[in-house]
Amino acid sequence: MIEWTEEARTRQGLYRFLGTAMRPPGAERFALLSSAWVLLDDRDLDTYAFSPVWRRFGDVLMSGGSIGDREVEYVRLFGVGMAGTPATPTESYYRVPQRDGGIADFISTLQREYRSMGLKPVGTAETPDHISTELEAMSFLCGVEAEAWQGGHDRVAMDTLAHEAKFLSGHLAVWVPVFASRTRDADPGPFYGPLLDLIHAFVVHEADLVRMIVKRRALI
Amino acid sequence: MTVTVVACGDHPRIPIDGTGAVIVDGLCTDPGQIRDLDLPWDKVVAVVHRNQHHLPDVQKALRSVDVDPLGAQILSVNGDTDSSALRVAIAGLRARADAFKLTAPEHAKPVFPKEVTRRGFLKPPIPAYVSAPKVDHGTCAADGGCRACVDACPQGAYRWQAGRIAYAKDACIPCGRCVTTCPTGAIENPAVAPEMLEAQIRALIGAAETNVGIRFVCSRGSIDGADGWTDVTVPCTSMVPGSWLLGCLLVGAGAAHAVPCSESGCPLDLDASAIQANDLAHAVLAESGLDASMVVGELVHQPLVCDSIADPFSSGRAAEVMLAIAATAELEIDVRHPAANTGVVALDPMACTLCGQCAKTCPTNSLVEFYDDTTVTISFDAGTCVNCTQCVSACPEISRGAISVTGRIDSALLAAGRQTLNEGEVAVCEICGNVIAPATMMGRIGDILGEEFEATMAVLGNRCIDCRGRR
Repeated sequence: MIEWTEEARTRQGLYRFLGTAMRPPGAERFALLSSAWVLLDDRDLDTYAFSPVWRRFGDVLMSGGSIGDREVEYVRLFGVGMAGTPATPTESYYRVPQRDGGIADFISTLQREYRSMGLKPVGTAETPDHISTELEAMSFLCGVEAEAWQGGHDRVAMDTLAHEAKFLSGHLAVWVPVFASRTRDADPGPFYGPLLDLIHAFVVHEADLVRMIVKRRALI
Repeated sequence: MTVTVVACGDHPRIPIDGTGAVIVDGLCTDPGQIRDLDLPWDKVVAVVHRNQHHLPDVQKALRSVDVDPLGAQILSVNGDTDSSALRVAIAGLRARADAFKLTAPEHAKPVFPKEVTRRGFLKPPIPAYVSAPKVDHGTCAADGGCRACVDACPQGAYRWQAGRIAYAKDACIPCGRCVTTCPTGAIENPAVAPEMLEAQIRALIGAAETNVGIRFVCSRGSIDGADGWTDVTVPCTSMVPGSWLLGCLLVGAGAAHAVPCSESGCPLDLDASAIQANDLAHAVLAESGLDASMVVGELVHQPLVCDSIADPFSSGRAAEVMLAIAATAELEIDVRHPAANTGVVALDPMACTLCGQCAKTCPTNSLVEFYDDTTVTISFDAGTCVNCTQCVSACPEISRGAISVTGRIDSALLAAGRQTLNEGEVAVCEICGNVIAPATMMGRIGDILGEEFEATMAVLGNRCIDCRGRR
C-alpha cells in the first residue's frame, strides 16, 4: 500500500498548501509556499487534470512579486472594503443567503462535522467556514488516511476516503466554484486569479476522483 | 494557435507521408518523451496505433506540455489504413482540434478501467479523463419548468430540483444526448462543440479528392472503413439529430449517415435514435424530391447544388437547415416525423384555458403569452420550436387535450413567423380595472370548485388581489 500512502500524503500536502495560500499574505508564508511548491511538484502531478493550472500558479509564485501588492489585493478581494467584499471566502455566505440566525446554525453544524473528524475547535484567526480552514480540515483527513494505509488498516483508510468524499460534496465542491467565479469577476490580479483557478480545479477534481474511488471500492 | 500533429513511429505501416505529422518513435509506449521535443504545443492531433497506447499516459504527456487532453484529437489507426484516407482524416482532426475552446474544471470526468478487482486496489488507479457536459445555469430554462435534459438522459444523470437542474457527473456516461436535446443550448460539452464538428466536416470535404460521405460513429465503437466514407467521432450516435445529417449535405458532403451503436459495437446500444435520425433525413430528402439515398449509408454521391449554410449543427438551427433543403429543392415540404427537431404546436380552444403555462415553460420562447387591456393571446413561431414537448408536460389541461405537439417540418409554417393559436377575454377588476386572469381560466376554476364556491368565485373573478379586501 505504499502508493496509496504516498498519494494520500501528496493530497494532504496539496490541501495544506492551498489552505496556507488563502491565509493573509506575509513574507514568511510566501517563502514557505515556494518551498512547498517545489516539493509537491516532484510528486508526478501531471497524472491529474489540474496539473496545468498547478504549474501556472507555480510560475506566478516563483516569479516573486511585491508582498505589499498581494496584501492590498487580498484585502480588496476577500476583506471588507468600502465597496463591500467582492468575493467572500467563507462558505456560510453562499449557503445561508438570508444572513440571519441561520449562519450560527450552519457554523455549529460544520463544527460538529469537524468534531466527527477528530478535530477540536480552538481559537484561530479564521472562522470554521473560511476556505483555508476547510482546506486544512481536508488536509487533516488525508493525513489520517495516509496513516491508515501505512499501518495496513485498509478499512479505516477507505472509511476516511468516504468521509473526505462526503465533506467535499457537502461543502467545498458546492461553494468553491461560485467563490472562484466571483473572484474572477472581481479582476483579481496576477496572484489570486491563478490561485483561485487552481483551488477551483483541484477541489472539483478531488470531489470527482474521491467519489469515484469510493464507489469503485464498494463494488468489490 | 498552432496544431501539431505527432504520429507514432513504431508502426512503419502507418502511412503518414504527406500529412505533415512529426514522427515520434515510441509515442504509443512512452508518450512522456514528447516533453523533450521542441515543438509548438498549443493544440495536438496524435496518431497512435489501435490498442497499443495507454490513454492515461498519453493524456499525462499532453498535460506536461500544457495541452488540454480533452481538446487533443487522438486518432487510433491500424496498419491497414489507406494513406489518402489517413491524410483526409488528419486534415479533419486538425481543424477540429483548432476549433477547440478551453474547458472548465467541471468538464473533466475521471474514469477508471471497467474491471474492478481486489488486486487492482493494491495501487491507486490512474484515471483517464473524458469530457463531460456542464450546465450553464444562466441560459438553462429549468426555472420555467424545462426538463428536456432529464427526459433525454439514458443514465438518469439529470434531476430537476425546484427550478434548477442538478447534474450528477458520476452517473453520466457521457453520450452527448443532453447537448443536442437542450432547447436553449445551455449544456455544453467542449469535446463535441458544434463549431468543432463543423470545422472538421468542412475540412474533411475540402481535403478529399473525391466526393466524401460523412459517417457519424460512436467513440466507444469502431467500424471498418468503406469507400468514400470518412468518420466523424461523437460520444454516441444517439446524440445525432436528423438535421445534422442534412447539414452535412448542405456544407458539401456527398452523403451522410449516423451509424447505429449496434453496428459499431458501442455498448450503450441506443440504436433507435440514430435509426430515427437517418429515417428523418431520408423522409425530408424524399419529400423534397432530392436523392434520399444520400443518407442510407451506402453510396456516396455528387454533393447537392446548394447555397452553403453557416453553423448547421448549433442548437436551434434545425429550422434553418430544413428551410435550406426546401430552398435547394425549390419545393414546399411537409414531413411529420417523431424525431423531427422542429415541431408544430396546436391548442384546442375548447379545452385551453389560456392559463399560459405552456408559454411560461417554453424554453425557446416559441410560445408567447400576451396580455392587453381586454384580451389574452397565445402565439406560436414554428421557426423557433425544437419539438421538446415541454409545453405538453406543463399543460394542466392535458387530460382534456388542450395542447399537442407534432414533430413536423413544414417549410411554409417555418417561414411564416409568429401566428396566433388562441385568444380570449380577460377578467377585469371591477374596482381598479386591472387585469385579473383569462376569463376562460376563471370559468374553468369555477367549474372545478362547483356551486359550493360560487360566492368565492364571484370575488376572485371580479376583483384583483389588491382590491379584494375593499368594500
